[in-house]
Amino acid sequence: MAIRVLLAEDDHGIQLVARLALKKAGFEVTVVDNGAAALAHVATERPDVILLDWMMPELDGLETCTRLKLDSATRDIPVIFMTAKSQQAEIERGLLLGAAGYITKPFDALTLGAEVRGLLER
Amino acid sequence: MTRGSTRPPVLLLTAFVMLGGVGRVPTVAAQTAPAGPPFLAYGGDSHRPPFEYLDSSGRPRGFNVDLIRAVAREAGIRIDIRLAPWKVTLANFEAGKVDLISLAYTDERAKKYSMFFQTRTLTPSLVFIGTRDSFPRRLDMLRREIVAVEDQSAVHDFLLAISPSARPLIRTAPDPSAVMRMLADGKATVAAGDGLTLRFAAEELSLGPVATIPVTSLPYHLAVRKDRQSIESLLLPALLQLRATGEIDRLITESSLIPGRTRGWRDYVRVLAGGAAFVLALVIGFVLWNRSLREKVDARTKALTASLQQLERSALERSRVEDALRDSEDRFQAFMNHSPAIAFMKDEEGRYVYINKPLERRFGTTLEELRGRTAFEWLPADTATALSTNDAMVLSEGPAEFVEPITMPDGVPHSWLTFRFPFVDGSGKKFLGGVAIDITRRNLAEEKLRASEARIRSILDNMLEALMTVDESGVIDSMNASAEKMFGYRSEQLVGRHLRTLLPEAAGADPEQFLKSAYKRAIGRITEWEGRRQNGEVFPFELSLFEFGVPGGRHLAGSMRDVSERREVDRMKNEFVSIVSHELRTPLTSIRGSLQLVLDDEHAVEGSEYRELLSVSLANCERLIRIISDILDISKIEAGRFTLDRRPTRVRDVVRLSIQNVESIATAASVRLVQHVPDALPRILVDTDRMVQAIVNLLGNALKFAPPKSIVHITADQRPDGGVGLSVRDHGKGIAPEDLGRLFQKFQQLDGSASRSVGGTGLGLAITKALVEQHGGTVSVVSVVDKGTTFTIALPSTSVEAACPLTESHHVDSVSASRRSGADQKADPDVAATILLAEADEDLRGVLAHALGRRGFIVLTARDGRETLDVFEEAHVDLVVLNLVMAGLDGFEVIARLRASARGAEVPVVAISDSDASDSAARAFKIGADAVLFKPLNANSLLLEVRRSLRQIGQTTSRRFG
Repeated sequence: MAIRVLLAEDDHGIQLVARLALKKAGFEVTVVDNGAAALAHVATERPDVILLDWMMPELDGLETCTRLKLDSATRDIPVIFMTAKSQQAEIERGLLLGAAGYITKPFDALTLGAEVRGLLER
Repeated sequence: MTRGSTRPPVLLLTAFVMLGGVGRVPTVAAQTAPAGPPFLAYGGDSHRPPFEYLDSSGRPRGFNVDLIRAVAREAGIRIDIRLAPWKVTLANFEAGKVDLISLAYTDERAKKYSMFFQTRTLTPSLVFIGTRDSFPRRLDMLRREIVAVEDQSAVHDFLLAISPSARPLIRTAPDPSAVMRMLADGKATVAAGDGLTLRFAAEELSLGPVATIPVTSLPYHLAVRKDRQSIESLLLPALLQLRATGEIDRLITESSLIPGRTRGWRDYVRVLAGGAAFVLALVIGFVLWNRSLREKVDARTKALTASLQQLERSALERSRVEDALRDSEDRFQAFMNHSPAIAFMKDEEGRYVYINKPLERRFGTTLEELRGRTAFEWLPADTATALSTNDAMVLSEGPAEFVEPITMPDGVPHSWLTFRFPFVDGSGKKFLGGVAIDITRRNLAEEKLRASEARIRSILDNMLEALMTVDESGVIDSMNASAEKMFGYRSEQLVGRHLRTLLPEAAGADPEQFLKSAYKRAIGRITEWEGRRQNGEVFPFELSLFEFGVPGGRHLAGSMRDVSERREVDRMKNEFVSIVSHELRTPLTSIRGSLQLVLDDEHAVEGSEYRELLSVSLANCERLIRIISDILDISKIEAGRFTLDRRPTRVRDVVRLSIQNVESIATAASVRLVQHVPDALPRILVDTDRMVQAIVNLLGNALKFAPPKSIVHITADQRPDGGVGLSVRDHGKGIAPEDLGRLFQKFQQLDGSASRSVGGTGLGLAITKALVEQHGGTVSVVSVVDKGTTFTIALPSTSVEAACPLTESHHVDSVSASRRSGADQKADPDVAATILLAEADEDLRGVLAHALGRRGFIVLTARDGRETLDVFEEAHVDLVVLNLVMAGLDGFEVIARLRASARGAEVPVVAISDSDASDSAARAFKIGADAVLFKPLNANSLLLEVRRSLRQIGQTTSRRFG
């Protein structure tokens, strides 16, 4: 069964590229515009992995992750951040919250799927 | 004194004594004592009046003779008196033919003979005839004189003892008469010897008036040979008796009369004696009158003698006193004239009575000129007025000290430090005395010092850095203007106060501790601290401390720089870089991703030209991404916000990863990459990603310049210092020596030509250098034009595992970059265990969370007891780390409640306790903590404890995170 990915990303260009890249890699992709939408989605549907952009309006990646991890219903869903690497110190905080890993932007569209799989296998 | 000192005195007795069975020796003149008792022999000089001599009829006479006779009488023994030429007497004494002689005392003689009784005192003197300008008063003042002296006399010895430079020309004569003749004949300018003896000799020779100057005094002793000391006891009682009765004094008095002085009355006596026959013949009845006259004459003679003696004595006395005075005066003069200070005395009217030579010299005047004159008569009026005012003040109010500016004769103004004091002489007259030293030079030096201090002060006050000094206890002693500005206080508000005023509340609470840690941290290096301004604002500053000793003890000086602005700029720059990079990356992500996806579809773009165009777009997009990434790296490195996650790594792995990174480029360039990595290399302690990045930059650089079909070598080796070297060698065109210097600078592209498949960013080598230096290593380059270039990364032995085993603490405080792309830490079996960390202190919580998170644990945090229980309730937790001290529900309570619950009964709990609360540890164990850690906490020990606690329950819980 295809792995179901929930992608929370506010940039439409990236939404497009990531969706296509992941689809080509065999994932089933749902895209939302921000963290709040991601939480709303998770409340009804359980994805296999959540890709969170770091900087998003409404609810940013870190906050979204925190809420996901504090909720025993969602804490087991792996979270992967997608971010520019200048914010490593903050990423550390995300990892401490229990994120499965992160993917540096700009990501490689041809290997994105493999990267996500790699992080999930760990 | 003449011979008096060297040998026995002048007159001579010849006596001869025989003790026991000693045979009799004939004498020149003998006087026989009563027969019966044992007899001794006294030996003396036959020509040494008035001490011992043979008179014109050959009879022994003189003081010594009279004394010996008195002793013989008193002691009831017979003493023969034998006077002979002194040499003969001395020989007889040495030979034991005489038992007793008289000698002037010298140490030399005292060693040889037993000089057992002082009979009188001799006065070695200088004797002059005629007038002269001045009379030398001491033996060592005779340098320009010709001195006649009796051969081998004590005075002769004294003269010979004078140092050659002061010694006079010495002429010796055999006896005192010969000495005086020499003086009379002009063969000597002065005679030296016993004054009395020489005067007797002068009288004898009718030399007329002589001047006698005593130079010293010498005891005159009776002496026996050391082997005849038993004689002393025969004589001493009698001698002491004679002294006690004044007999010796009487003999001295009588013998000291100079014959010339007595000649008058002796002649008179002689005339009377001559007339007596006439009188007797004529008038029997005159006999009585005659007798009474005689008695009168005798009495008068005696009186005269006594008064002469008195005169002689007082003359002697006066001359001694005068001598002493002169000596004292000499000393005083010498003292004043050699003193570096000028000195003066004035009378009450301000007239000079004395000035010393230094004053004469300095002011070009003389005592003769100034005596009786006032300051107004030789100094400028204003100076004289000033001095006189000071004089008057001292005369009325007592001693005082002045600094007086006086223009010297050469027109140069000098400063004098003058001490003035009033004093009164013996007659009650009041004087003013003064001594002064020239302090001009000292004043100049002080002025210079003041000028230099002012200069330094001005430098200190104008420098940008703030400076402050504190004593050992932290009390501020000084600060410069920048420090005033920095803290917003004026220095007088702070000097004398403790520096806690300048610290934020937290640090100020324990200033002693602060000082101690500041000393440890900041001495000799630059560290960052927080200070508090007067307005309460807390700001960061850089501090470098140094220590200096002053007489009062150890002090600390701090050089400070307010870095709040710099910090603000840094913050803004970082924010800017971060925002820009995000803003650039987001569109780039779309662009690259789109291009990749399009090109990935073989059918998407038909026609090679368009495909080519999209490929160029993608390649340049990649390049843009690299440039942004490099800029971010370099700005981070420069900001010092770059931390390494160093782990033991095999060199082979680093090399392999590096090669993998550039393999495609190498293939495209038809260049072969060959690695040479020995098996025996130790592991290196590096941040693998960063080290790979550094090497990739070098490889990329080499590939750029390596000609097609050539080989790029990457070689690793162990260096002699224990470190590890990694070099990259190409066979390119090399780098000109003049360009080598620019090589590691930013945005330097030596090769102006378009890069090959890989576009350079111009930052690669700069990043490599920065990264390697962060690892404690160096990058060097050797290049030969047209032959090729070799870059070498040298890692020090401290970056090699064998030399420096990695300890856990290396990891603890550095922020990890390792989870990126999910690399490492597959090895840790505990990964995925969830730890609930309960700690009220936000900083500590952060640090501990980092440390645990880095090890792959999932960390949930709580700020207090209530939250701890809530989180535990909601989430799956494998282990709890909690501080025993928390607000509200404390750690003990939390443990107790956990243990009481079904889920919490088994969970391992690691408690954190304050170090001083050992009883709380015991309590924690009792309640159910599995381990207790003490503050200050070591992240390393926390990890160990966590792992240990997890393993203890490993059997039952391994499936939870296996």
